[in-house]
Amino acid sequence: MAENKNEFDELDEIYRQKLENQKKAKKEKPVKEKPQKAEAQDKKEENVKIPLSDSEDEPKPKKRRSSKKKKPEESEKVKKQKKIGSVINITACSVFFVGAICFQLFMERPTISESEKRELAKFPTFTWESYWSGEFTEGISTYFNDTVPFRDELKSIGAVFRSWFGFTVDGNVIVGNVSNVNSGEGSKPAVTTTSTKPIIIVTPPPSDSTSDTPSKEESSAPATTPGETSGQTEAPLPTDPDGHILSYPTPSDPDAQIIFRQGNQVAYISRDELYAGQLYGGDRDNFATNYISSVNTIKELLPDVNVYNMTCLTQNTFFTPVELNTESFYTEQSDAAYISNNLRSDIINIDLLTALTPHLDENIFFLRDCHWQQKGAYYAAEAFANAAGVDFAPLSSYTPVEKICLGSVYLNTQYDGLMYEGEDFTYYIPPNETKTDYYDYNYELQYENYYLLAPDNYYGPSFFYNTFMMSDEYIKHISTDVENGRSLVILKDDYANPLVPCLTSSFEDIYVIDIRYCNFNPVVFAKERQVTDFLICVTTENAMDETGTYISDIISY
Amino acid sequence: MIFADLLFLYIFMALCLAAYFICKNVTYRNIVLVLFSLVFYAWGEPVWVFLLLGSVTVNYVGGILIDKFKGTKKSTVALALTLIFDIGVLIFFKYAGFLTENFNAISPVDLPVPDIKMPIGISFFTFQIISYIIDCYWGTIKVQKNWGKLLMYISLFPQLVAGPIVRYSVIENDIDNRKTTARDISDGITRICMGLGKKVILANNLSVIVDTFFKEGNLEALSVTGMWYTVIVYAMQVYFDFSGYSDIAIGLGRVFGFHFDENFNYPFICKNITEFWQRWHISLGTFFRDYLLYVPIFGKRRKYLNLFLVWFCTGFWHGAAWNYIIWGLYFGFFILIERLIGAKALKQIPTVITHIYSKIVIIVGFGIFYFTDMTKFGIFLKGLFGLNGNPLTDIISARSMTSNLWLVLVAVILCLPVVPKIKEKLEKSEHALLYSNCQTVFNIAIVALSSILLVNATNNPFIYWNF
Repeated sequence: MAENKNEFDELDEIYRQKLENQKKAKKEKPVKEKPQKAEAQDKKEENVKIPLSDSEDEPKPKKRRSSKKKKPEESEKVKKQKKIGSVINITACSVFFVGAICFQLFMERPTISESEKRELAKFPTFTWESYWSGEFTEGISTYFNDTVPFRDELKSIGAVFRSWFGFTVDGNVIVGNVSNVNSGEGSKPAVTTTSTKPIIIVTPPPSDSTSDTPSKEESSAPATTPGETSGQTEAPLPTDPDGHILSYPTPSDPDAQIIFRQGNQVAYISRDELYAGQLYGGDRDNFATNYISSVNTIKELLPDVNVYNMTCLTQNTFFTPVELNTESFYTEQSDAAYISNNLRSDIINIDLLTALTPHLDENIFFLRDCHWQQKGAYYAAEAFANAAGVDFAPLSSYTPVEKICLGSVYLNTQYDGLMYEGEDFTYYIPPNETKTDYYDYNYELQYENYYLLAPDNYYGPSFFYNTFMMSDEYIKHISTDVENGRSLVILKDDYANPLVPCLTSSFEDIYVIDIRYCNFNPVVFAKERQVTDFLICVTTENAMDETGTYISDIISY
Repeated sequence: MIFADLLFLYIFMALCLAAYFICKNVTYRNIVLVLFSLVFYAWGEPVWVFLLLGSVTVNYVGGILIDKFKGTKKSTVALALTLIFDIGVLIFFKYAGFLTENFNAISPVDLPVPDIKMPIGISFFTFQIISYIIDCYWGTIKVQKNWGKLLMYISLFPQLVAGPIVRYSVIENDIDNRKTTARDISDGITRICMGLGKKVILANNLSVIVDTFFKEGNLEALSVTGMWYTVIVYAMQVYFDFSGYSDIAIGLGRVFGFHFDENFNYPFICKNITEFWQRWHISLGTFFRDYLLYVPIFGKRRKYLNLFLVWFCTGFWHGAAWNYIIWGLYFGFFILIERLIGAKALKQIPTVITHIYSKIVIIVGFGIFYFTDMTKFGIFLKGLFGLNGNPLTDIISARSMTSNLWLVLVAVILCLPVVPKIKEKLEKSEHALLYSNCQTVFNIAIVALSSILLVNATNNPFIYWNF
């Protein structure tokens, strides 16, 4: 510790003395104009504790606006250059501003956003009430910001810029803030960005589109929600001699209305309920062969291993109105069947149509997310465990955790209309002991004994699907307390994540490899570890896309 | 109305500049500024413009009376009454709810908690007007006898709602005699563009990271690295948000011929907390120093009590919540320690250590500043030092760091005085024109990008608007 009197104290004392002298002087004689100004100037100069300027053009220490400030003399050349530079700066910026103002004022302002599929803000009507409440002026600001000429194009440029950083979660760039998520009922907080009434842009059902499509079954079954009992309970579904369901009548709803679309991501209204998801976009003609041959190759390379194929079915099969799915020539379920029919006979195909259909009234899919609920994955895992002949824990032995989440369509598109449309999300903590290690794509250990399921509330409503093993980028090795000599490699995409925890009561070791983040040959990997089972689990849409090529690439390492 | 808004940039500012420069006479120019300032303030909530006018009128009369009765007790009475009005208005609108809540908590009564909406910028313009009236009393400025000119000083829209707190002495001469040179306009434009970029490109995007972890994510599960990463990003967000606003205010002032004092001076390069506060929100720091610290409320020998009073007020000024008070006192504590150690002794400590010390204190300080919920602050503090059992790193924050690497990197670089150094070097080597032309290109690029990012972004307030 220093002595009582240190440099700070001295400064204080000097300052206090000056202040008191000033006050005394003022009391003694009224201030005249000239000395006052000088004194004010003195006072400015006394404020020496603020020595530097944040200004880029005056980096040197300076006294506050002191005319006596010591600054290195500028050479005549620099002075001249600065003068010319100032004129150029003023001229260029003025031209830009004038151009931008003309652009704002004279270009036609849009009234509808094509990308957001909504009516844009209108110029507010003046009333004294709205003026005094601030609504009128706020309405003008909203109108001006919302109806910028070429707004959709400009927003796209902004999105490109944001995508340079943002926050990537399994390929989805999250650029916005999500908060105050409601469960879909109750009061909705005021939206924080421009909120205008969505317009309903009707996507008319293509008049004979379904009948023109050879594999799309005509259906008179009503649109169903995951919580409703679908039409299939009223009439028996066609089955093969083994009892496998051959086809499911995807519901029809000619009145279904798409209110927002970005690529294949849509928000739509059907039977007075708001849905959102990803329309089916599989391309059988170009990609089916790749996938089928890749899976067949895996079996060829692993003759002594049980190889399974699970091409997952989504909402597109079970409740998205058939009229909306016009992107693909074939339906999801027919593509899944096509894959199944063309795989080697010694590959065990897990039939999800049969596994999921009896449970459609159990909330196994999200309303506004393109994934399935973990309960759906549980039934798929059960079908797989049955096919593999291993034990499988009943759902009642799991601990359910209920949450509210926002769907993937909101995350991917930032469509305002979904911002407060949260929905229930339940995940299940398995009953048995597990140890999960995370490895990088070269299979080097990164996190030992890490999370199978992320801690409660670790992810906000926007990232809920990451609850399952947290990240696709890492390969996981899950050791369980099962002792049956069975071990499993799962080669998967993100859709399969909720399925993995459901298998921890069925295998001793589970190796989870995401097809996109693997830098080694998973077949060699499986051989080295002498695994007994090998499951390929991806969505049907991904199977009918580049996934077959990816698999083919990695099994060639 | 806010600066980071297309309506402001391309309509309001354009009209104001056009009207201002069409007028050649300074009186007309002052009228233009007053009219536009009132429209600016009334844009969000027109009713509060009457509070502003009332406050200016009371202080105008107070100033006249102080001047009239100079040297007598009546002058002191006039000062006291005016200050009671000013502080009373501030307490009523800003602190009534908080004070009632706390009174209810410590007493058996249960008074209804008033729900009063705070007029925007009340803390700033009240402090500005207090500085004016005290300076009148001390005689360090000449009393403004023209109500319109006093109104212009208080309501000048560049600094009206979020500072800097401009002293009357700073613009006293400029009110009647000001010239705008080409250099002023050019520098002013550059400051406006830089300020806009700081807010829209940096602060707004940094806020997404902060919200992801502190607002949406589970704080209890955030790793040690994640906690440090987020709070550092938050510190930079506040810096760019507030200094961006100050840049726009100073730049606009410069275009109109006013020379406001700087409000920020690269605060994160400080070596101690005393220096930090000489570089951060300078106008507030100097206000408290000049009007509170050296006023011997507790007697000349009780200066340390005065110091804590100043830091209590600094914290409380920021908001009616306990975390702000703790935040102020927290910094007061470290400043007291530094005073006891002494400036010479501080200088003898190796620079690396003083930098580490100051950054840790500042970063923890920003944690206090962020969390109005004390429970969450406790979780944050434990997490920051690994006391909640969470791992050192976690996947999601690690990924956020890599995804936002360049954004954070640019932000870090701009927190350091790199640009002025480059400019200085170029000027020394007589390449001022090259620098100026590069600056022009940057100005246009920044405004263009900011404008694109502002399309459909109506919720874009500056953090310090809350204060």
